[in-house]
Amino acid sequence: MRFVPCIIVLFVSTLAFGQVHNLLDRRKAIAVHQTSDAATMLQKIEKGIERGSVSEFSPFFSSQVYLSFLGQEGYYSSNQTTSVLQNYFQTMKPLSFSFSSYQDKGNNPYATGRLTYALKGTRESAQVYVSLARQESKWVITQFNIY
Amino acid sequence: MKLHTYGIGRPVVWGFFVCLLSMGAVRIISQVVSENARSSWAKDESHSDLKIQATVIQAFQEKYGELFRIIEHVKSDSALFAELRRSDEQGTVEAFTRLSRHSQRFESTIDIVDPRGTIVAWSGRSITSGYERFLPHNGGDSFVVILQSGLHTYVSAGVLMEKKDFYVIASRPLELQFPISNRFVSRISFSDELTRATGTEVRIALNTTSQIHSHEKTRFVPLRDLDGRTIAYTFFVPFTLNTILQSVEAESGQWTRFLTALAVLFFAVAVWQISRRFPSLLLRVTVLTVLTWLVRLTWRILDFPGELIGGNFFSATVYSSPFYFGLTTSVGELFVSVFALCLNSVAIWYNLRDHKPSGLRDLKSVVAWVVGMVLFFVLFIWGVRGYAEAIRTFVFDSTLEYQDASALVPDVYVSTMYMNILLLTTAVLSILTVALQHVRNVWRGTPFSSLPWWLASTIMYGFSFGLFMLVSSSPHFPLYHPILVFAVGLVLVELLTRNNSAGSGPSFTKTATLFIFLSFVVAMPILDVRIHEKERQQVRTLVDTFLRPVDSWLSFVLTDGLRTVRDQFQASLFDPQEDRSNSMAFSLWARTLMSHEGFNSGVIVYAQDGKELSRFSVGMTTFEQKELLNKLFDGEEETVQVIERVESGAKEKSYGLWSSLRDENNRLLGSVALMLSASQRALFRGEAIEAIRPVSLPAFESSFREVAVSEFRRGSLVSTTMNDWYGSMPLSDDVMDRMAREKTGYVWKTEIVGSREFESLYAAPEGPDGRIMVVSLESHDLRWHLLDVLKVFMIYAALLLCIAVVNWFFAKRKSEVTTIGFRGKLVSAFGILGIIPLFLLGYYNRQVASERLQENITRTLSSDLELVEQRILGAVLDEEDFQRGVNNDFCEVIAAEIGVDFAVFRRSELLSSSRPELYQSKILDSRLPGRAFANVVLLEKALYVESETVGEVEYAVGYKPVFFERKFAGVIAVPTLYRQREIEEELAQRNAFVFGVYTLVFGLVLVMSFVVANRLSRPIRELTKAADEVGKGNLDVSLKPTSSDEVGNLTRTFNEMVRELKTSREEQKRTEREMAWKEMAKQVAHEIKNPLTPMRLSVQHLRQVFKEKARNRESILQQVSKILIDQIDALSRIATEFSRFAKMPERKFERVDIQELLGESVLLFRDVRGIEFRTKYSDTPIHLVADKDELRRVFINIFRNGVQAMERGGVITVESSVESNCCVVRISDTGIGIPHETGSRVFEPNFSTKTDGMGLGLAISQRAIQDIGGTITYQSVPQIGTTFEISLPV
Repeated sequence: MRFVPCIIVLFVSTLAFGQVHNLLDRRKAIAVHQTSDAATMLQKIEKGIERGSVSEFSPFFSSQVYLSFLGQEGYYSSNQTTSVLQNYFQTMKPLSFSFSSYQDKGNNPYATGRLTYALKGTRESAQVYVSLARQESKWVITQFNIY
Repeated sequence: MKLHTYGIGRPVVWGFFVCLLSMGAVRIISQVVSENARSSWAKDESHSDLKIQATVIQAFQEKYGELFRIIEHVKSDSALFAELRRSDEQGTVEAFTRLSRHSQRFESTIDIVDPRGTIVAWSGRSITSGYERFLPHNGGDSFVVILQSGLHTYVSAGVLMEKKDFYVIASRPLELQFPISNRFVSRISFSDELTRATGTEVRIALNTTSQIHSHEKTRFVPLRDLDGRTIAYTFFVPFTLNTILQSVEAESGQWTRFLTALAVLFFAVAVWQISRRFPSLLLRVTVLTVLTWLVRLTWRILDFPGELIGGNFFSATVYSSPFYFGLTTSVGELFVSVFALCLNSVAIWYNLRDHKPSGLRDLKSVVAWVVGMVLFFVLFIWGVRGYAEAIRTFVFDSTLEYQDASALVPDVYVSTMYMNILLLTTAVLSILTVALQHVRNVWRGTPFSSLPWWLASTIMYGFSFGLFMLVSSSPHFPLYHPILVFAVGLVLVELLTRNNSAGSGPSFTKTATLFIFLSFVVAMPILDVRIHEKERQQVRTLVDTFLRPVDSWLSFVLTDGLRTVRDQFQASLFDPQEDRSNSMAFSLWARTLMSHEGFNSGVIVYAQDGKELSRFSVGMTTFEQKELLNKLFDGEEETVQVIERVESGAKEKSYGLWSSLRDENNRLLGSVALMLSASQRALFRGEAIEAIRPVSLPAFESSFREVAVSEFRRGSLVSTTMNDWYGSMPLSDDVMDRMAREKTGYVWKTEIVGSREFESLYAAPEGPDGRIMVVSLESHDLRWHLLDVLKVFMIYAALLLCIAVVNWFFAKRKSEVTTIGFRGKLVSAFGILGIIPLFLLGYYNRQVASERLQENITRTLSSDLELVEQRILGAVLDEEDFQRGVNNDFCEVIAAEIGVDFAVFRRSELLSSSRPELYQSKILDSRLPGRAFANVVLLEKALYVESETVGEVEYAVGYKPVFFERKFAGVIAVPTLYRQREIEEELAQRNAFVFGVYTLVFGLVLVMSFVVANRLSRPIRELTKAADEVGKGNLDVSLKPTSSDEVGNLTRTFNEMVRELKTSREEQKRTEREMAWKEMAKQVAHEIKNPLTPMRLSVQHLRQVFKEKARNRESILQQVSKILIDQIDALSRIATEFSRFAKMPERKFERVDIQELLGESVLLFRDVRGIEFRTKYSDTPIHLVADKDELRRVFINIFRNGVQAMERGGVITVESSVESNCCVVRISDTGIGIPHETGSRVFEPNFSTKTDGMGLGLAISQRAIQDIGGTITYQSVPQIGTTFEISLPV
């Protein structure tokens, strides 16, 4: 019967999904901790949007992010926001992006800029608005709007 | 190569190859279509545009064609027009009533208009105040027109009656013109219909200035009326060769992915079928696991079935989680993943459940095994943590409302999530069950088996739990949860293995019931905890939005709004000089970010001379607007101005911005002012505001429980929406202390307010402003929980029913008999009998509750109307004052004072309202509904309540006429739309009260029915069990009668019957024994007599020879001696044969390869001349446990009989196979066969057709086979041959 525990161990390892969640939380905590000021965070967000790489700024998402895109809006969890934006940037391939307006001082930093992207071979554009807030002495993204 | 020899089913092979061939065909077809498109594009390009144009025109003609059919139907109602032509009040009322029926039936607005264009009767939403401009002036009697009204564009068609006295005009919405889409606004889009029909993006507009942005090659199709005049335009993006090629490629890619997904599935099934023949259980289970996840991963990569189904089911906006390595990014993906997981784990459980390992005999191996199990349990608890995290993410990473009490049946997404939870829990339980069954089986063989297995498991699990807690300081689950999971696992193993000792486990349906029910028990508590946590998180988010300084964000919203407004004017979509309607400001506002974000805000458009042209505002009082505008125009253009006001003791900021408006030629058109209030969002101002918000805030708008917001300043309450709290109420010392002590700025407190319990979050912003915001959420009580339990139970019961039906169907196909036990039937009967009255009672109660609710609404409307009437009559002097003085500001003040919003109509048209924005945006109709007009204005009914619909929401409106000196002055209307939330709360509470309590009662009914059924069925079950025992030959069974009723008599009769049977059986046995002895004695005597006769004769002959002293007496002595020795040998042989029959040697059981044994036996006969042996063995070895020598003797005996039956030679065929878990050996000869008359006696002892045998060989063989649970039968045809079939359990 030695193989029964082996099989079960093999199988329990597939039950490990919940643990990934914890690892992500830890990674997120480290990333947020390393980015102490709003200006640096906004720069990282800018680069991430330009590359269409949500993972570059997803650790900064608040636990509940107010997200507005393609006519849908509401509060989404950080995981949902990551998936939703990844799907968005997969369809709308960013061509160029930079923040045109910054406000990185005060208690409610925000930045907005024009995103140019390719959709089914044509160039389109949208306004991106990102707002930060301080939660437990760290900056997090609380709002991400694409108009 | 014959694939079926490897165990692969024919459909699987066919399926796999059909998929491969189809993929090739799809590729070829796509190539051919693409080539055709390339070669004929020059010719097809213009055809493509024409085809789109034709589709658009035909679709539009169908739209208004339908209106003409409605008109014809109305025209045929001669009574309606007869009533109208009577021109008296009663006739008009009747006409309105009839018209209303037509309008409701066809879901359209129907207006009856006189030849001048004045509306004389109407039903449905108003489109225009009059039709003068649209009636045909060229002698025509019908027309079609497209009109903009509020949020929608309408298409209207009209036809003149034959008597030329009325036009009948029917209208329906064509297109939603603004980016607002909530439950109060119908999402109707002709553009979307055309986009679907043509395959390219199509938009509709009333003028040519609108185009589909960023597409240079936009083309348009004019939509024309009956006279060929253009009344609107549709714009479309023409197809290009590239788009066509891309669409062909996309289409073929989609099919290829679909076929690949199916091919992978067939491939996996084929490999699994092959793997079933592997001797190693480990290998089989490993292959199954790998295949399951191979298919799942491939499907994910191919986006199957997401691409086929799409929609919100596979959208991250409903649910998305990073766990499981990207396999759960939507509700649909999660379902497929969890289904695979459950399938995998249940398959493993199914494979391993009956495996009985050998026990552990020595202490060393026991210790090693215990250490292994402890480590396994540590890993399992780690898995439980993953499970708990999964449930957490099901709640936190989704936007689903798990506890929507206003809906009795959860929607498809919530139901699917409940199914996901069930599948995941079943997976966890099946893993635990495998482990516990393993412990149970092993523990019995250890030296410590006197300790119960469950206690040993619990000790090992407890130790593992302790180890896990040492390793993981934050386990991420409530501590009781792994304990609950383990306890349920123990119960499950006990229930699943209870009947195994009797040789039969529970049926598939019973197993599924156990798993589903116990999964429900495990999952519900943790789900409930997580939902509660999420609610607290939502409250926290809400508080944060209150506390967050928003200046920069609000400034951005305002400036972005201004940019939108200016873009509209620069694109010449508006011209203040031409468009002076109220809807202009609303149209502009609806397109701004202020509207998107749901802020209390407004837009005012001014002409060049500064005169106000159009104003729309929501949630801002007139006073607030005036104060802001005064400051605004003192400041510079395009500069955000801020004013601070003190409202109920709290500071509130308002933002304003103004700018001049210019067209694309920089010509000054006028100016615009934008206003925005930084006060709390519209959500807390009342339900009606949601009506003009683009979408709902998900947090609490749909909450059926009360959410109250309050603010304390310097320790006393300054504002609140909580009913039972009062101004200046002091902040509790407890909160103050905890705020100071915990230093987090957030304190949760459970408090009783009035008769209800609330959970309140007290939060203080950073900095020393002394402000504390409080958000209070009404707590759940037991009834709410029971309602949730009922809903989940309903879903799982439905699943169980499906499983039972499918199981029954398959059992029927296999011609198996599926039965429900007597107890099961009793429980079902009690359950059904219990649930039917409950459902009827529940339905009746709900009906009564609905009626009471309606009565309450009517009563409330009546008192509200009287209150409004009193306030108006108290403030207004006469009818003239009423017409002039009752304006929006007046209504707003009264509404704020009495807490009731209302509207005032002057006959049929709106005079004023406390919520003008709802009428300006045309969300509510500014024309009095036809039937209300007939009943209140014409018949002057004191109260009239009508049900109306706005978007998807049905609501009641109360109407009351106002009189001055008995002269009609107007109508007051109070819509319950403003109270929709209260009504839904009421419904939810009634649901919880009625069905929550019923759930409890139903649960009790089920428990009671189980207890009663158990008690009633116990004697019957005991009788059945005793009868089984009797059937097996145990006649010592005796039951104790427990009652003196029919069942007691039956028990007594049964006992009597068993006693008689026992006596009779003993008598029979004795007789049989005597008979056997007699037969044996006869046979022994006969057999002994045979050699004795020659012996006697020989001895007599010898005596005679010696008496006569014959010469050859020496040789005769030798002969006689030989005869005597031969006969003594014969006697000895007879004795040996009888001895062997009477007493068999002790058996030695071992694992026997039956085919190897058959081969060895055949070898013994290889030298027999004239006999040919042919063998047809099974492909795989067949092993069974038996006495090898004994079995060999059986085969040799049959072979010898066969050889002896073929004196002239012949063929003996030996076959082996596995059929229905039995090893079947067939041995056929081509001998003389067994005659029919003796056929029935071949297995009897002492029977033989041969002269040299004892007739005991087959009897001994039969006994040997039967002793190891097998059977031996034969078929024989004289002169053809005989076949013996031996069936042995594997």
